Amino acid sequence: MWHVRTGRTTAAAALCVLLATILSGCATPREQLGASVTQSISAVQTARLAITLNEHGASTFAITSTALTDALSQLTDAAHAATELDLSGGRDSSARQATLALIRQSTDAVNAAREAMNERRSLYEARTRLGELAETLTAEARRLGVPG
Amino acid sequence: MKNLSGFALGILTAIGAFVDIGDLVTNAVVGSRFGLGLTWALALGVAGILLFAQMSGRVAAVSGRTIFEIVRERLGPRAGLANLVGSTFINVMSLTAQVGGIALALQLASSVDYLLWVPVAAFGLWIVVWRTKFSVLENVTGLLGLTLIVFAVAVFLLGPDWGSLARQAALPAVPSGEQPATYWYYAIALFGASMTPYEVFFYSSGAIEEKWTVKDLTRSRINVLIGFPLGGLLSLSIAAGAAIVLMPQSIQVTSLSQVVLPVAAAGGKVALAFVIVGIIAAIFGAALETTLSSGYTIAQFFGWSWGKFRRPANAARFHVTMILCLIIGIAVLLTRADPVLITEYSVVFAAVALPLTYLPILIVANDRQYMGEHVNGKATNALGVGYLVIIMVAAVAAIPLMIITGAGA
Repeated sequence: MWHVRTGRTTAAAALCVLLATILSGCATPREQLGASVTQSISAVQTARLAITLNEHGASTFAITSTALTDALSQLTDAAHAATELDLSGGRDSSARQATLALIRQSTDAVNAAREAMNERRSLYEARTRLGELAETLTAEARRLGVPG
Repeated sequence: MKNLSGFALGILTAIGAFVDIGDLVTNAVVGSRFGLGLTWALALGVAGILLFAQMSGRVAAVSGRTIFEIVRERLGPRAGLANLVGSTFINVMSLTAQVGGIALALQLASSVDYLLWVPVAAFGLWIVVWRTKFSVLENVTGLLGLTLIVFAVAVFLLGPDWGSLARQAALPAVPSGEQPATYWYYAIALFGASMTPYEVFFYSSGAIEEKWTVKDLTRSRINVLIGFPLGGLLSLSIAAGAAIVLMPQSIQVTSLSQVVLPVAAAGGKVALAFVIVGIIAAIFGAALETTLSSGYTIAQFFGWSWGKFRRPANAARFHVTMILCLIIGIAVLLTRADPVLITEYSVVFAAVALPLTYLPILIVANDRQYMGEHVNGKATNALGVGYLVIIMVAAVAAIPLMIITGAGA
């Protein structure tokens, strides 16, 4: 009897610890927006690196094109995550609008880079634009309290 | 030439198993997010697979039977069935990830959408498994996979701050912006990727395919001691390249195209050509291993005729099993499930299933009835038990950490 009770108590304690750990791992809306911005920075920087390597003749068309497509998928995922957030306050809502606007601009910039590459035009403009966006996104991440 | 082919099994197992899609992605993700701060987890995995692959090769060479056959006989059908269910699930998941990986690598070479390559990759695998001799299969993929050494060359060409890399590896820390739970989640993923169960099933079944005997024990040790550390070195190079090029630019790896960018930055198109050939060969090798492992485990459990050394007509159920596993893989991928995500999940689930594989190996390797004088020594047993404790901890922690971190997001 004593053994059964001890076993149950241990199981219940373990469950509580597990639940507490899971709940402590849940992110706030601003942290989740921060994650979308971090993801967007990664996508924009990937696109910038891929076209820089292409400009210097260090990469092939196929790899650059695939990297740009993957960057677009990453931006789509970031936008999706930010859109689906259930927000309560006006402050969070305006932060979301700012994040989504930046993701949209990043998507346009990556698409512009892809078009320039397909039409064999100079990639300089696209690279510069992506560099600017990376800086803006980094500032936004700081504003949202993303460490690093 | 005979000596060369003698070492091919170890090299194929190491290149194919260590540097499969799971390892390529996991190491690049870890390198881009944690630098070399998880080198210890990789080293732990390499040492673990050295220990247990050497054990499973010895069991096969001494007893003339595979691990799976003996587990069923020695531990009974229930333990065998639990082992079969766990390893088949991981095998099919890994196989799906590898087929997707081949398709993604072919997209990198051609810019044609990977979904169009999925059936081609699966058909190629089936033809090779059906028609090609085991020795040809291991020599070609093993040797072509060696071109992945370009990852290590790239690290030197990038001219990194070696002191900083050494500090990251020697004094592991969670970087700012990352959570401790995510760090531990990826530690388990790296450990799981290094010790994937199909590696030992393939290695022990391959030893039977090559008709190893007690005389081949030295060869087995050399195979393991060359092949797996080489795989570990390549893995470390992938992480180092990502740490040098991607991490400073805040690029977090989520796709295969990002994995090759450090190599392009270091060596341009020539290095890229080598790395693409190596990636296709290594993932194709891993896909062959997982396809064969799926057939081996199921056929060996049910006592069916199996093996590449038999004509397909004489091992019909073994071949049908492999075809069915391939069809499941294609079906999953054609739903547009992300191959990289499947890969990430497969290495974590592999960590959960590790005790089902490695505990029976340790038991069988200590059984004098099968092993005679070649049972484990005291030191091997002490290490084996120590590893089982680590494996148990990793297996228990894997799923809760996956939930807490949102699969490492």
